[in-house]
Amino acid sequence: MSTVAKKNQNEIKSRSLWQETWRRLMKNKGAVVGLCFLVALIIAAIASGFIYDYDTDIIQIDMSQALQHPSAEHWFGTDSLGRDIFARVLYGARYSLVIGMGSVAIGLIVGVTLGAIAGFYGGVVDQIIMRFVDVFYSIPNIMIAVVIVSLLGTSTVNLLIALSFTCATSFTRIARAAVMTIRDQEYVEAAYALGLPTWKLILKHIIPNCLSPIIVQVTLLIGTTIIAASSLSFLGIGVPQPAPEWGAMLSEGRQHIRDASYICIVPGLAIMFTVLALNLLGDGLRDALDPRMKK
Amino acid sequence: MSEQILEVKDLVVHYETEDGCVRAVNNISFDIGKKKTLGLVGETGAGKTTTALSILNLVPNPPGVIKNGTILLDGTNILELSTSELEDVRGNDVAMIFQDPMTALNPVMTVGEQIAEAIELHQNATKEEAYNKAKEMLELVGIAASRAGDYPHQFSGGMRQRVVIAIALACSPKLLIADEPTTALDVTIQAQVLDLMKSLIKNRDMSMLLITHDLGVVAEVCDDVAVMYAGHIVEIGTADEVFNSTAHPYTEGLFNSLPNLKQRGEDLVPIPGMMPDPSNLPEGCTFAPRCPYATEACKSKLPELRDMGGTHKVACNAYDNPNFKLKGVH
Repeated sequence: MSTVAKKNQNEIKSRSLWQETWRRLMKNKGAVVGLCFLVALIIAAIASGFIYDYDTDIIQIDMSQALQHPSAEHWFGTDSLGRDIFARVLYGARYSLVIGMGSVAIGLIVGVTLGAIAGFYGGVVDQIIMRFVDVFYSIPNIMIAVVIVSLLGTSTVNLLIALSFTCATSFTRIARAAVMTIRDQEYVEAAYALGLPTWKLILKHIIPNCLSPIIVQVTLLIGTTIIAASSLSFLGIGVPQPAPEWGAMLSEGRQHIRDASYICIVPGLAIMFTVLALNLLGDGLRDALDPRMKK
Repeated sequence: MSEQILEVKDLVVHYETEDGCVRAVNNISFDIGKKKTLGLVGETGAGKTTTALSILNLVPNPPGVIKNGTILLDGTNILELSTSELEDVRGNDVAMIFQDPMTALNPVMTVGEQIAEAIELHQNATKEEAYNKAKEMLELVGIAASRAGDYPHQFSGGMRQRVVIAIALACSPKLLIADEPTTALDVTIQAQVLDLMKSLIKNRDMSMLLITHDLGVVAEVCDDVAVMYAGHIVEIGTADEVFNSTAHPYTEGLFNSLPNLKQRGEDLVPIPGMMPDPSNLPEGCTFAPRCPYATEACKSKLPELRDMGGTHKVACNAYDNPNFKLKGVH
């Protein structure tokens, strides 16, 4: 009986850093709203694949239904080719989320690896990596993407690759700065004195301690990347037609902005709310992960 | 098999920076016998930590360079080992306890994981075996095994230092290097931690290099003592020899600057001046500018260690005069 009580007491006491972060995140109303919206969006994006058939519901042209205003049958109306906007916006979430998360994921892996190497070894290695990053940083993001897409051709995968370049450079910078501050901590020296090989030391001791700025950057960068992907699609070099990408939908709706403004408004709001939710979550995470915010 | 677990010979370590060469450790030699504890005493900046780091070949390079010397650990020269051989030695044959328990533990790993890490690395144990052994180690240093899943911030300073000790002892190293293990702790906890270290070392037949600036700690724990000043060993011998027949003016100065419990009203006698800048050491005896016994000869001649009987050695020119005697500790 007493041992059980003792065990429970210990369980209450030992709250891991992640549990602690989660608890603080849940106290932030904006972050909770953002998180709920994103979870709903992800579920909707997955579900849309089962509800709608791509060929008949999403891209099939039906001129008899063209430019219908919002109604019970078409919640958000139809576009100039008679396609249901509600279905297209929902389906379009897949593109935005896949491109946003995919290019951030690629950028994360490449950038953190490069940044960790640059920050840990310093010297010539650092110089070489960081000067490359500086060069990429000095070229406008859209420009890099335009160049890569026109080299590789327009497709969703190529757009994803193009955008991951920009992500990688910013992750490299953040990871490098974080690694440099952690590198000189005494526990890193202690781990060396324990006989840990360098790669294990970086993976187990240094990177986990650098995670907070990286996690924050992930959420914020997904938002930026979604906007960039939409901009490129708007310009016609992103996801190719007739896929229902939000930026491409905006571009199509432009001609009818006077008589059927909902064609632009709906995908525009979709982009806005998604990015807003990501930013709210990112801000919440930044506060939750910052030890100075502990109360 | 030699009787010594560690033999350091003619060790020279420099830090080569853009502003010049910092001569941190200058030609020092010492041995540690099996099951013995050597206390390395000296002021901040005397080169104690650099000496300790060279034993693990961990001197940060650049700017640190081990210029000369051999470090034999149980007969193998540490300085000639490859990186992977060194990784086998570190933590397994030689372990180190760091000065500040507040920063020596990784904040995002549980203490159990951190102890298990060393065991997993060196003893071919599975994760679960290592974790169970880690719990045993925690019990051994006086922390309940149920706290293995806790993070460092949930422990007090004294308990963290116990965790650090548990990590260091996890693989039963032959030699333990303790770099000011009690400096960051308050006095009552100091005594506890020292007692714990003493008994653990005794039970496991380990040797220890204890780095400290606290002569009280040395008297309590060490068999032998080496006194360092500006990168030189100025006096070395058994604790009894150094404490009871102090021969070097610097060691005498250290004793005089300690408060005397028997005569509480008495003023402390500090050593005047500062330690010389190690990037610009004087030509002769490094202690000469602060030494009350210094003569003209001391300013040009670097003293060598001379035998004072038994294992007691001292580096002081004053003993060129056979009648020289220190004024004695107050």
